Amino acid sequence: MKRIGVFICHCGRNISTKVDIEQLVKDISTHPGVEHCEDYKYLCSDPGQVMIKEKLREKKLDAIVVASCSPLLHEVTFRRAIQDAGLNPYLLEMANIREQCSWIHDDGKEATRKASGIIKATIEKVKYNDALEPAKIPVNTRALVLGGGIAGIQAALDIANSGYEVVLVEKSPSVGGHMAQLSETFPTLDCSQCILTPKMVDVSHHEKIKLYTYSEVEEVAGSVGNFRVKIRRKASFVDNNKCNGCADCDPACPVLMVNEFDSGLSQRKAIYRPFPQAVPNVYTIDKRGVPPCRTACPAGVNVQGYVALSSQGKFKEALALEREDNPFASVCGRVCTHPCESECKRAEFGDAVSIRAIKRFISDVEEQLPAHDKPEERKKKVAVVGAGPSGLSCAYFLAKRGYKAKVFEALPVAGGMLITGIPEFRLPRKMLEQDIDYIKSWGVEIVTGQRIEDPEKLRKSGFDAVYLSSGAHVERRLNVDGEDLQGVYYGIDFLRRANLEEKPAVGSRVTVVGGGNSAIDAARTALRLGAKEVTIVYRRSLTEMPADPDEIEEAMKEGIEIRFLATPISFVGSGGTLKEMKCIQMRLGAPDESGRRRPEPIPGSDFTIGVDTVVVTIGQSPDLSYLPAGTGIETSEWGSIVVDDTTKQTSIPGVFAGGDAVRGPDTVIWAIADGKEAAVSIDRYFNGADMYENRARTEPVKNIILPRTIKDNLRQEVRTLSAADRTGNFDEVNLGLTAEQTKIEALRCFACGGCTECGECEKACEQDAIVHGMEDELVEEEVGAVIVATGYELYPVEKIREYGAGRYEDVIDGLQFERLLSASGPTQGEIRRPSDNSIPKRIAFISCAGSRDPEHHLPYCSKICCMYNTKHALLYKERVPDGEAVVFSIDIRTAGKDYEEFFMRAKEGENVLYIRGKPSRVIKDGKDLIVWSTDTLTGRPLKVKCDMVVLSMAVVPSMETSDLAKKLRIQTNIHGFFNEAHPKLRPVESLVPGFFLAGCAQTPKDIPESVAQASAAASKALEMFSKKELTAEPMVVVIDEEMCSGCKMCVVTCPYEAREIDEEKNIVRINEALCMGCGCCVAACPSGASQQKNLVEKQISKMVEVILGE
Amino acid sequence: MANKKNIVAEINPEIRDALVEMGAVDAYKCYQCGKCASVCPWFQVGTYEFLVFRFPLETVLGLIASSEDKDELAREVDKIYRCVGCEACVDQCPLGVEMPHILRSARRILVDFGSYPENLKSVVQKIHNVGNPLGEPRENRGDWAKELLIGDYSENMEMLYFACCLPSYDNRIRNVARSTAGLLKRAGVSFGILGQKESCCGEAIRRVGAEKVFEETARSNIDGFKEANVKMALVSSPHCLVTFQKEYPDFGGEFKAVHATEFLWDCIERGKIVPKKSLKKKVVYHDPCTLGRQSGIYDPPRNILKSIPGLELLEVEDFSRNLSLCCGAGSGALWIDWPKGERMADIRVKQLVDTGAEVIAVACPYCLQMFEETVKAMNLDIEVKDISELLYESVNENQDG
Repeated sequence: MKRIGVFICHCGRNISTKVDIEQLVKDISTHPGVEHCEDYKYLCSDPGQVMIKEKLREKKLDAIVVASCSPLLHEVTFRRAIQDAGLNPYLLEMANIREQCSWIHDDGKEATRKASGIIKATIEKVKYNDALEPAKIPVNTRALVLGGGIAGIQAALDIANSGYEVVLVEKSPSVGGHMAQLSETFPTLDCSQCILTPKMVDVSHHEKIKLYTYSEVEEVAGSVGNFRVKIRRKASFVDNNKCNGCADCDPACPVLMVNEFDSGLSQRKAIYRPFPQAVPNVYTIDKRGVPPCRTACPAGVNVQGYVALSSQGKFKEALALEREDNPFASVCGRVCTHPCESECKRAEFGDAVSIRAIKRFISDVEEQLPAHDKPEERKKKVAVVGAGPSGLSCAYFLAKRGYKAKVFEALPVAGGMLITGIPEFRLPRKMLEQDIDYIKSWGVEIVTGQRIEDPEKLRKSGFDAVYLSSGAHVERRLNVDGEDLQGVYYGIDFLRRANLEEKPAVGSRVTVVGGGNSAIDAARTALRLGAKEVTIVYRRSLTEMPADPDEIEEAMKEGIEIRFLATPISFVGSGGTLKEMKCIQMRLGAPDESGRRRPEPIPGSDFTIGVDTVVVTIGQSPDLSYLPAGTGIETSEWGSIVVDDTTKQTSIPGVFAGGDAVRGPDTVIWAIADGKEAAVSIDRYFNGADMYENRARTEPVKNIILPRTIKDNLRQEVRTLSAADRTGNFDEVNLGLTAEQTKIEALRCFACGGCTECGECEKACEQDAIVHGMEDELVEEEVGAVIVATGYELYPVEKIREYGAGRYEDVIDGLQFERLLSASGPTQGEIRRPSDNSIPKRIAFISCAGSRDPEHHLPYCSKICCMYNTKHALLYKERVPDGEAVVFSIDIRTAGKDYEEFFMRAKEGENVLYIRGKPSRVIKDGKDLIVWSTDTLTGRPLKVKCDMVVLSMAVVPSMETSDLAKKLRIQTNIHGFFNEAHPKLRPVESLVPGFFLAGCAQTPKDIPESVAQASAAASKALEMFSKKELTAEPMVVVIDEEMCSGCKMCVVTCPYEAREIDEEKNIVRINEALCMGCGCCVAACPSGASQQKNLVEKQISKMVEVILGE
Repeated sequence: MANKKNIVAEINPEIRDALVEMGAVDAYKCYQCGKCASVCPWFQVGTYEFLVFRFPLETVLGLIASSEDKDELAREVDKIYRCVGCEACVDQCPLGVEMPHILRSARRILVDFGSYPENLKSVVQKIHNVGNPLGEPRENRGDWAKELLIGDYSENMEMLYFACCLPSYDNRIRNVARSTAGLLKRAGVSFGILGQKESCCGEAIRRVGAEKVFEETARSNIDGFKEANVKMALVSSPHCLVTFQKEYPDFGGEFKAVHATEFLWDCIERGKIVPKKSLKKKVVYHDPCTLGRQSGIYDPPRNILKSIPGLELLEVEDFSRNLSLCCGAGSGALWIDWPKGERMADIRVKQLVDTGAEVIAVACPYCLQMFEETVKAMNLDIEVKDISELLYESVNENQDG
């Protein structure tokens, strides 16, 4: 039986005002096992400790209970005291009667009763406590510093200068943090960069510091003294050892992106260095993913790439890049249905980028075909049937791979539907020829006027594979009376004759039946062949019309009429010649399988139109008559060839097919895409490679960063031929963009995907430092201590609707104003407002934007704003002496050395106007911004007209903090700031041993405080390093081997990975160095084999018993 | 000199404690930032100085209604009754100070002493006597429904339609009740009314400070609803909505309440009502304070308008949703006439007209009445319609005209 001493603390008045101490001493003294019980005002004080030691010796006590505050505060104090007196420190227990009793209860009597219960339970526990010896752990004397802002830099330098190694990890490409963005610093107004950059350089040159920039911590394992850290070095696509920061790549890169270092006030290139003084002085390529325009393009054309090159006037390079994925630049620049534009992110804010017009321009300016290297020749030969866009594309992509491709065309000309189906006023022959010549320049052979009768024979005559792209040329009929009368044409036949210069005869009244692009083409062709009146009859309404809206508009401009919701029911002629067309009115019923509403005839609504010529243009189907019966090539019930969706291979290996022969009438770009895919398959087929691997369509990039303000929402207008100039000729109607327009239009691109791999930087880099194929790298480091200094960001302006929510360009945040003030900023330090670059004559600075607003935003004070907007006002007055600075605030908080004096300098010295009142609105009125507020001191409502508004946005932890907290397993408060172990006595330590805190990641603070805290955190780490060994708490878990069944429940429960299975004995083993004594496993263990030292089941049940007994 | 009044005040704990007791607890929270004063509609009116943030401070100092000077007290009464209860200040207050509660407690003291505006006294009396603020006979309350053959509510019905006083009696606004009832019929909902067995919800007089009459009216409604076994009430006025939802439960009212716009949008979504007839008009929607800020219902009214074919919905860019400007009728202000140049409705209507709209759509009978009066007085060429009216026109293809 132990001789237990109980000491009860008054904690000044903290405990004694609620708990009746006298009563308590009486009560406890009689509890079984208590040898001595005594109270004192401050037990933690020196006399208090002396008292405990004396009584311990005097009464030969062998277990002690101190009833006072939380063990978090003073357990160490009292353990040390009894150790001094010769008792094992683990024979001390604390009963918390302050936080858990006196502080939270009003009723003194009940509080006393509860205190008694808590103490008695603790007595019961200590009765069964064992004398424990702490474990000794060797310390790894390297430190990890997370975050390369001023706090991280300071901590790293302090530790390194003490002779210990430091691993510094920074997520962005340069160290420096937000301080590098600042202009001058308060209250001394010394230049931020001037005092920071030397430290940045020191960090990068220090022999004891290993710097990982553009890197993030992936995982931290182990425990205090011995952490294993996994670090992801993000691919920068530039070899840091080769890059010398010469900046030659910068002007070469055509991709303009939002510059985050200037807080979105300027643009940077996709290859960038955050700022010229960056450390390390190397470039990084910003790759975000595949832009939506490219994923939308069936042929996967590098749209953003050629648009970016065009924006810089690099038209030749743009065209070359386009042709990497599509040889039909001129054609697609004119007649592509541009799915890219439909997915363009710009379209959410007005017009999509006019991608097709840009493409057309870059193909128009080509003067002569470019030279290119011949690919390495390969032996295999491929026959292509049909010289339409699909067949020619397939041949092109095969030729680029070095294969011999021979294209057989039945017609006397190459081009397929591009030449027979599309009139010259939309696609001039010369431009089509430019594309075909380009394809030929790769060695593609085209044989015209040769109809293939049996593809199998081609194989036998020496071709190793065949691609069938014979198109869809069989016209669909209306199946009504009189369809065979003279004067009734079919669209494709009609267009072919017109295009191949047969010039079919048309009467003066022409009606075209149909609503697709071919119908519009036929109508416009008829007009040019001499028709006086041309009408289109379409059975649905305008919204369902499949033709390109631009083409419909042009047709209407030319005087063509469209009769919607009507369809012919018969043609009437006399003497075999067409005279009239009988029609019926339609209405739209329920949607059909295509999603369009199905037209239904309205009974009795027949009407007649007098006509001389009708062109029926209601669709086509493939002509597969050349495939002899029994070829074994599977066809569909619609008369098209069946292929595998991915590989384009038909039912016969080595025979591939695509384009309209497979799809039925479809768009050019799909035909090209099929040819391109088939070429990939044929190559794999020849090489015996997997036909399916890596061919899934990629998802578009999700994290698209938009510019701060979005302007230029309308696209450049394309010039067209006047209606008068179009009659009687087939001149191209669309005249395209000018060079200047093309650049302006291309600049509208948001550059969603970042780097487009256009290759310009590679050409410019003399160091050969660009590595497009670089991948992220995982490295592991071992350290003993971690300093977390991950910093802050500003609460987004968008969250404050009443101040414009980011809609007004001239409402900016504090960091943006810093960039305007900075000599390295977008205006070189001149104060210019973003909207029109004018010098603002009055600026309103609004404090507490997001701070001190528990209802809508954040409840805390961000601490630095009063001082920095005072600094802003001062610097503004210095740059614009006749300007007026108006600061709105609730309070001015200037607690800090020389801070009040600084504030008075602004007020008195520079006449900055301070208004006490929180503005309620910022409203745009023309070019002005009006701030609505009240001056609460005079009681006057105010409307303050100003040119610019600077919001002192609240300081919030940087975005990664919550993720990081989970990885490090350290606590944050509800706002995400890291929690210190004790707000007063342990301000730089985390509650988890081995983790120290510095800078704004812990709470908002200014530079002097961040630096001080960083040095403090460093000294805490150094304190640890100065010991050879650490003592670890011995209250770890032990396993009763007899009881353990090896069920592994505890293994998965343990958050510290401190246990493994002994396979031989089938029991669990504890790694005592890793066990933190959290007790999770004790709760999880079904048999009770897991028991924590000095907190075994018996102790718990005794404690419960005595409490329930009270 | 001897007759000069001493202007040095002393803290008056009695008045303070009475105010806090009556609900002004938030006065202690306020940190005097003054944001309330510039979100207050009086800021936009611009001709009357209404320093909202002074009330909490005057409350904790016990200075409200402390003057013994008659004229000064009269000016103070006028000031205290300037608040229209729009809660723009509550919405924007960083600390969530319930300013209307502070003013209501001041008003309760004034009502207890009988020193509050005569117009309001008359309204309180009318509600006490005949159950409506217009002083119309109690037995005529259900007259609007007679020609539509709408019967009394009975237990097996889905809901009670509680039309509110204005739609029950006012000649113009009755069309709101009729349209709503027509729509409910169209949606196949079984509903009835309680006619003379119901009274005004009492929302306005509670905010006027007439707590006793409010409690008496609320209890009579609650008893009546209980007797008729009402489980759900559909209301046309957002004022009835907040009272039923947030205030009646304190007096034992345990039925559900739903605003017409919420319910009707649900009907449209479920296909029970189909707006067919095209209404080719530019319509601007005015967020009523009590429906928007105070009940958080912003989208159902807009969704209804967007579902009407041909209708183009406009917004008052800087003053919509929670930043909408009050019509000026809340908290009893419907019955107070402020001079021209001091009317909120005039300013709000101008904002609405400036959008280029042809119709102002509202979802509250108070707003409807205020805007109709303003449009008439200012001789403007714009229609004012309740959303139920617009929707009924679109649903009812065969309607005359």
